[in-house]
Amino acid sequence: MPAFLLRRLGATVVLLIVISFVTFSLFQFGPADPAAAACGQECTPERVAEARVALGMDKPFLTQYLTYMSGLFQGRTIGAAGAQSLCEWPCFGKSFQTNEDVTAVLERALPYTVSVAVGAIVLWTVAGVTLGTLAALRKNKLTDKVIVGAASIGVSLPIPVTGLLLLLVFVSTFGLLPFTTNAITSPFGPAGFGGWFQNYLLPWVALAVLFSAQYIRVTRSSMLETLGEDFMRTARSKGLSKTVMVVRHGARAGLTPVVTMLGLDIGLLLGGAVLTEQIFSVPGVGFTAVRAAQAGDLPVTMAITLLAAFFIIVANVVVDAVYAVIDPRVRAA
Amino acid sequence: MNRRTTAALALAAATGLTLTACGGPKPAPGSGSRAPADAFEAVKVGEGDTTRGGNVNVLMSTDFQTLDPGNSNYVQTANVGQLYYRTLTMAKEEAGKPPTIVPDLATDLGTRSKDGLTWTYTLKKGLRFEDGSPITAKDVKYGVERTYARDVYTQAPQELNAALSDDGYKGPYAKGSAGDFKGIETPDSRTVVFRLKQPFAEFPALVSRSNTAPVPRAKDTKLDYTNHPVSTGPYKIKHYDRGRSMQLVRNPEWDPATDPNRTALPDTFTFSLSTAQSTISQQLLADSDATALTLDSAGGLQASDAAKLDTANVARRTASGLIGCTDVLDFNTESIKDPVVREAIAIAIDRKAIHLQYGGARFGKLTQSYINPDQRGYVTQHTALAPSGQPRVAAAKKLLKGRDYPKKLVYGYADATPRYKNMGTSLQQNLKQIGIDLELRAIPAANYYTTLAGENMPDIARSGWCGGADSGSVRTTVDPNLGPSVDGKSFGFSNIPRYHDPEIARAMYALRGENGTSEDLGRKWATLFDRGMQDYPLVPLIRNVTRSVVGSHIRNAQVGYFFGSIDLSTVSVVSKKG
Amino acid sequence: MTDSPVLPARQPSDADAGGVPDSPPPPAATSAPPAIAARSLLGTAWLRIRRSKIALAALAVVVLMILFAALAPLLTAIEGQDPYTTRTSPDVLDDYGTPGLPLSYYRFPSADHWLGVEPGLGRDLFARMAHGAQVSLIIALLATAVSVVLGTVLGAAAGYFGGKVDMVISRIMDLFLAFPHLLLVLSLTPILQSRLGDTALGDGSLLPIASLVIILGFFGWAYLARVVRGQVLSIREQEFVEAARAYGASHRSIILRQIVPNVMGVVLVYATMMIPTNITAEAALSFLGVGVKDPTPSWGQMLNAAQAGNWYLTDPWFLAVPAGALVITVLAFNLLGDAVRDALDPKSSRG
Repeated sequence: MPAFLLRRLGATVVLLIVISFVTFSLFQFGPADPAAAACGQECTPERVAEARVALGMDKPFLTQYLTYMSGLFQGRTIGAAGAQSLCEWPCFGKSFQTNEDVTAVLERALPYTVSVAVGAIVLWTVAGVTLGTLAALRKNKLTDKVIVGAASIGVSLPIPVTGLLLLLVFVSTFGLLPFTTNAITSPFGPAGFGGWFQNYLLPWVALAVLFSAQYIRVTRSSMLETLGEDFMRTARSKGLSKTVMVVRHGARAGLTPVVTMLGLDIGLLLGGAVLTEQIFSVPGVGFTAVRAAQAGDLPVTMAITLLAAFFIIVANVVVDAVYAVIDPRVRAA
Repeated sequence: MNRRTTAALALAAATGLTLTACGGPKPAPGSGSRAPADAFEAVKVGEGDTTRGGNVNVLMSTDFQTLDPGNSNYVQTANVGQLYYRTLTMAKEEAGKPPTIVPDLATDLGTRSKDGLTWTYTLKKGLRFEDGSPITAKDVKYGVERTYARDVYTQAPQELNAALSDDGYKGPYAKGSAGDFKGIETPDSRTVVFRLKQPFAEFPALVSRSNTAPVPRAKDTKLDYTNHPVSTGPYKIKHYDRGRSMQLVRNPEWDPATDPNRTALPDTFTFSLSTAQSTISQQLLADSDATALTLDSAGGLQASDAAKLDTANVARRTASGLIGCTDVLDFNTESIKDPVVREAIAIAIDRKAIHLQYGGARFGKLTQSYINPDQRGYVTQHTALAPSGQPRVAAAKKLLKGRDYPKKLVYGYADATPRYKNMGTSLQQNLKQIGIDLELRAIPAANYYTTLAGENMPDIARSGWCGGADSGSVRTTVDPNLGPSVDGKSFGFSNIPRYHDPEIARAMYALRGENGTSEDLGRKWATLFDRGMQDYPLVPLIRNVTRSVVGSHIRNAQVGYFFGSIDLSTVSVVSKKG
Repeated sequence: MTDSPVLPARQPSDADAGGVPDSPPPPAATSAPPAIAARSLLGTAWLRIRRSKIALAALAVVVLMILFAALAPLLTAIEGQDPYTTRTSPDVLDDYGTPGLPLSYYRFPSADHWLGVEPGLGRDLFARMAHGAQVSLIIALLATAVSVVLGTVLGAAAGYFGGKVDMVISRIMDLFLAFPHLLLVLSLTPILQSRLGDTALGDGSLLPIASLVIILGFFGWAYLARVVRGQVLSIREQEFVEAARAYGASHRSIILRQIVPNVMGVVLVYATMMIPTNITAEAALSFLGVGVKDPTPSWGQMLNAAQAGNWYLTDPWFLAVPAGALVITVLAFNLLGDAVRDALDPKSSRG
């Protein structure tokens, strides 16, 4: 096992390096010139050149890239001579838009993304697994048909549609919920759990409608499969009640694919649920990334891309490892 | 017939019935029109209120790019800057008109030497930073020096710097040059002497720029200075949570006796940063926070909000007025060389349709010229453009008869704003009528102006100008937009049409060196501008109008001509509806 | 794309189909029984679909929608409108100095405008919806085709040839799978469009379509390739392949005659699942402003237009038109895909 993990770790690092190189190169070939955007009103060629020095873009591409990468591991100094500042490890540079440390930008955005992710994940996992199991238990009865039908519809509701509809109905027309505010970032702040809940409920629902539908389907099909397996038949023959059977024996094997999906989806969401954040104006990681990409802000986009990729890759590794551990079928083989 | 076909037929029948049943009869033409309010009179909300105290909540869709006066070219920073920094002179806003330059840190608008190359200012007594230390002439000089370090402060305003001597100065951080700036002298702690390259009648406006905001050298944290600029104004920064919120509280070291320009009525200002613009407009229209206002451009209003501006509740909370920004269409005079052809294209354009793109009379006023009668030095401008904005296609065709003119042209537009592309579509239709095929080309918004200044300048492009360093004078519009380069040999950097008539250029170049009053020299500039405009290097379009809705407890709200948003230096708030 | 769950549903058999090369595929999990190859794939699918009323209805909707999109120009000609003409006069739109909401005759279906008219610009909604259907479906179908071709070819090559080929291709797959798609698309689209814009593709509408097809196609292939690779890995070990190799059949004939028919089942399933994913992805990208742009209509672009300037809050119909079209189409494709999957993947236990 450790050898497998070590190999994956190595692969992860290589992947991240390749991704960083690709992103860096994309900016070099991009049509938007950050130096032109950074200089003031009269962007004479001289001022653009000065802006380029300020952004550290006057050096050759490879030098810029290597400086950036070395900063990730050991910190570096940034800025024009005479006005340099030390950027500590891991140094993601300074935002081209506001000259803030990118680390500070990320620290500020992360709580919003986590708030959105946590609630949504809890909501869709509980809904998806419960309803999916219920459907499996009542297979082909009315309950099953209704749940499956709802899931089919849910899976076909894109986030922009759900999100805008929720805003239209709950916030604008009936005023049942307040406008999202970016003053609330956690349930432990002055607004308390209630304020946090109200603020993020709509983004949670928008995500959960889509995701839980998928989880319902997977749980249902997986539970159905498990319920029919030999070891389940054995348990049944031992005289255990159906509920006990399902919960104790069926769940473990049946929920494996759900765990797999969950792990990967957590990885995805932590990289920033871009659409959701845009629609509900939650200034999380995804929202920040969109703004940064549009403004040609290389350091912020780089950092978020690396962060998101990191979460996705780690999630993959963890899921594969967990999967190998908990699925009795794999272990038996 | 099987069941499926029957069902299909039934469905079709039902649909057909529904389609004809819905909607009712078509309305008669003109029945839906409303006379758009003539919105060019400036409107202030709650003028004359003197309530002290309370908090004003400012909603913004983005964080300030910077709060550092030495690194800011942004009107929002200049607006909020009135609260925490002061400059030698100040541009005092009066809604709907160009601001008046008044003394701020200085005792008067400055004493000019006979040859116009030296301006001397005396600081008032009793001026202190927020930490109690006195403001000295050296601090003012240091503030200006910082703005020469353009490889650190990429956004530093340069109008003042361009006028001063000692161009080679690279800022106080460059090796061995600290305190070495020869463009300013400080013979004593209250006297600041500026040395100019050429006379500049509008110099008092140049020192109203944030370059002259004093910065204590010992507290210059360079790129971190934006986190807490040391205050010289009525308020100081209590906390600044970047991207989230900011709070300003009273600065006890500010002496109101030295500052007749700022009322400083509210006790505190809070700023909610990074709130969605759509949310801001919803909240303001619904008055969900009675102490709220916004600094977002165009008052943060969305396209669908225009209808709500008419309701009584909203209308009485809406401040409005013309702002100093004018939009024009530039021709590339190097590719469309014939001025008669340019005139033909200019009068063939449907400016009324473009006016509608900008939101009609509610959000913009059709204009015949880049300069306006409110500016010092204005003289009557002549143009063949119809004041109503209607196209004159027949006249255009007549002008083109027998002339050689390009049949294919390119219109470039910044890709971030759909309105500019829609303008292009409208232009396409206009130009087709005079036999010109117009291609639309998108330019990345971030590079827009550098592209226009470079070799890929399209034939026609839209641009805007907000009055320059002194929006009250014609000079700072005329010189950059139609004037020659610094050495006079070619067209200037901001001269987007690349207009260069040798005679006019020579006259303008000479005018730069002339000594005189802003009013007198302005008239000469305006006359030259009129002559240049007879060659139709550009087509004036719209003067922008901003409408800004404020909360019901806000008083003394006026839209700043320069800021394009509610002027924070005079605003106040009451505690209950009165 | 981000914000949508990892698609398609990960069955236990799938999870290991494409993991790290050195983790063995679980036994019996990915062997597609050769029995499937014996019958025509489409025939099998059709039999299953025919049995279910819902699947039939879904198929009907899909076919109708495709026809609708194909005939869009004809239909809008019958209506007598087009998607680009703006109507900003006060007889059509409330004029507050800014063209606002459509007047009541124009806001809802009427004889002249079957779905009413757009606020702010006054363009006919039916024409935009129909032409938008064309754009959205073309992008989704072409992108799926690109992904399918790339995924099948590369996945099969990796699985069949193994060794270095497999390693290289698998690493590339991992890279594409790990890359945060949306961020890459945000950065890549402007670049692609500016580069492509230099070529003859320059017209305003063709460019975003082409770039979206390329980008979506390039993001879909890795997932399919992983699955195909897993399938091929297990097929490769089967006796009939060994036998073919033993009597000297060329690689090409083995691939074409033994491998490909056996993976087509999986490919077909994933293709039908990928189409609605791509429809949604195009909608998402256009909604964010990096996909199809005004004035070219697409369902995502219409969603963007409804949300821009808060129009949907005062004119919900403007949101309902593209939203309804999207949901109906995606739902139909999803239901159809479910039926196809049930037919072709015996491990799926819906029946």
